[in-house]
Amino acid sequence: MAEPVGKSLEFRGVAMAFDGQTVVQPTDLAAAAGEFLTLLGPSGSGKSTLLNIAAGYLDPTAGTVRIGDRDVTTVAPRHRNIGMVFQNYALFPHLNVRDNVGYGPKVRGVARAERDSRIAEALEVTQMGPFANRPIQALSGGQRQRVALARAIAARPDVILMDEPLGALDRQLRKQMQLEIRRLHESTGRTTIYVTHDQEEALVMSDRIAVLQDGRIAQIGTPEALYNRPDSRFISEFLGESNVIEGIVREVSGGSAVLEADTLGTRVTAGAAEGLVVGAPAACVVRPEHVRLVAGLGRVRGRVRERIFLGEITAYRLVLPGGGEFWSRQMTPAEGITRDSEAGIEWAEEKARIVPL
Amino acid sequence: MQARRTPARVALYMLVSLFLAFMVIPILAVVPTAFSDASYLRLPPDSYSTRWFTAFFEDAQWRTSLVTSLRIAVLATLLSVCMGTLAALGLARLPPRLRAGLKAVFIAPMILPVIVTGVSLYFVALRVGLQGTELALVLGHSLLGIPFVVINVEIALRAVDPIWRHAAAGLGASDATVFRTVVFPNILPGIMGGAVFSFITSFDEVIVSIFLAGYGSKTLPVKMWEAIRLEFTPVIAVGAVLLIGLTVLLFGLDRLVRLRAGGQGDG
Repeated sequence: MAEPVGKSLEFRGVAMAFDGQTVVQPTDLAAAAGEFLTLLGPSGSGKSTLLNIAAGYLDPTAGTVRIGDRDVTTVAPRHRNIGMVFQNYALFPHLNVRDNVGYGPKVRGVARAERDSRIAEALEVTQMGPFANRPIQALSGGQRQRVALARAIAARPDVILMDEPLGALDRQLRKQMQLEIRRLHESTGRTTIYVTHDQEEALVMSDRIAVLQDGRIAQIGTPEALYNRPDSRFISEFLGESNVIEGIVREVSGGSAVLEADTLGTRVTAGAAEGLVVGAPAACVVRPEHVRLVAGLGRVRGRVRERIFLGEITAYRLVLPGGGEFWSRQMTPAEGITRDSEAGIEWAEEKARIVPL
Repeated sequence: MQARRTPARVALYMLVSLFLAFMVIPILAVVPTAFSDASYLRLPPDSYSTRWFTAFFEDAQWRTSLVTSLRIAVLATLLSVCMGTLAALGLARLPPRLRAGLKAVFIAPMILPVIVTGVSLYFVALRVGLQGTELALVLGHSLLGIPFVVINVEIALRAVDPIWRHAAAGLGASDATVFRTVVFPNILPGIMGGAVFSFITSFDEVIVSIFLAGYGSKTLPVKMWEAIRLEFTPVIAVGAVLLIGLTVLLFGLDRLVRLRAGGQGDG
């Protein structure tokens, strides 16, 4: 990884309201210099608003924004030294690829020779060199987004801000671009704030993910931490898939908890998230890939209703006697378990987690 | 795929041809007249020559009127382009209701009967002592041209994505630079279109011109209007042919500019 050349970005108590309607609760959030931080959330969670506040296109109702050690809260976008990449590319239609990429250096008065070398470099890392003289209209969506990336990079910004940049691309291209953007980030070392509603994008690219829900940060951490140790049911279902067993907390001690689950007719023990209260409702979440199907009793028995072959994995949908549903995903199909057969459902205690509702 | 030649399709083609003929033929009828050899107006002429073109350009009065027309049209176009473009830019920033109201003001010269504008301008010009001057004609014509510029530029502005301004500002451009490097190039075809309409409006304008023209500021259409009452020779048709020619030329240029810009603009 390259030495970070970007600067840190920090929100301190930033809040936003439109017409009295709060869209961002007071939020503290910081991306370290060179970090790839993703703001992940459903639409209306406030992630784009935060990004636009960082860029200076929106003035926050409260709080301050800092880039490096400079307070930029009242600084105009053009003096923030940011590079913004938009979902619909926002390329200038009257300029060709080269002039789009060179726009930043040009308006900042960078000398011709230096400008040309920056353009060449940006086109090189985005693999758009051969297209330098093409008009924008002659490019595909993926190529346009690469030009938009090149334009942001050529401006040598302290922070790159990306607003759902892959949203308009098809799935195949999106997967390819995810890896490319990550490589680009690793080679340039520039701080990147990435906004998306796509959990896969967030998992693939980020150093850290901040999951937003209703204008506040629900949880922040590395992709592994969020996936393996969700703090709430929302996170466990928003990032990846989860089996959710609802129940009442009976015991909390030393990082683990006991949940009485009516639907299972049994108690389950698992790692405990913060904020559990004995006697209050909570949920035990188990990833489908951690659910094994066994011939014996297991923790609970279920009936296989569907067996779905997905190539490298096989998925099973089971129905529990109490009426609930359970999913299991296996790399190697369980022996002798077919549709309509009964199976025991089993998981390792340390793979499950008990979270507040 | 080749379209089938069904009776219905043939009937449609004939109808369209008739319609086009109805639109164009009465106007083009003047062209052969200009090439007449006779000294009276007759359609079609008995024999052809270019003697009336020679007569037109040898006559100082006709020549002067053509030059006056061109000069006034250029100046009026410059004025209406500047004012119309500024008006359209301003309108785009207003709240919808105020915008609709103010737009009506800018469009008014196109909607009002020109004779009303002509009479009003005549009184105003008399009052301020401009009647009979070229300046009065330039101002009057620019008034007629402004609506075309406002409408054309307004449409062009709608295609300017506000996000381009954000992108440019984020890359370090000041408001003035954003306008110069992003907004202006993208509304230029609209400005050009408005300019063409405005030029042609001035160049063939007769009603306002009759009210405002003096001896020294006689435009080509005014001269033609006088000649048709006094001389009634094919030299009038020459003036008409020049008007048609310049109009076609300008619209052709406009199409060309838009086609080239359009090749970049969509997508």
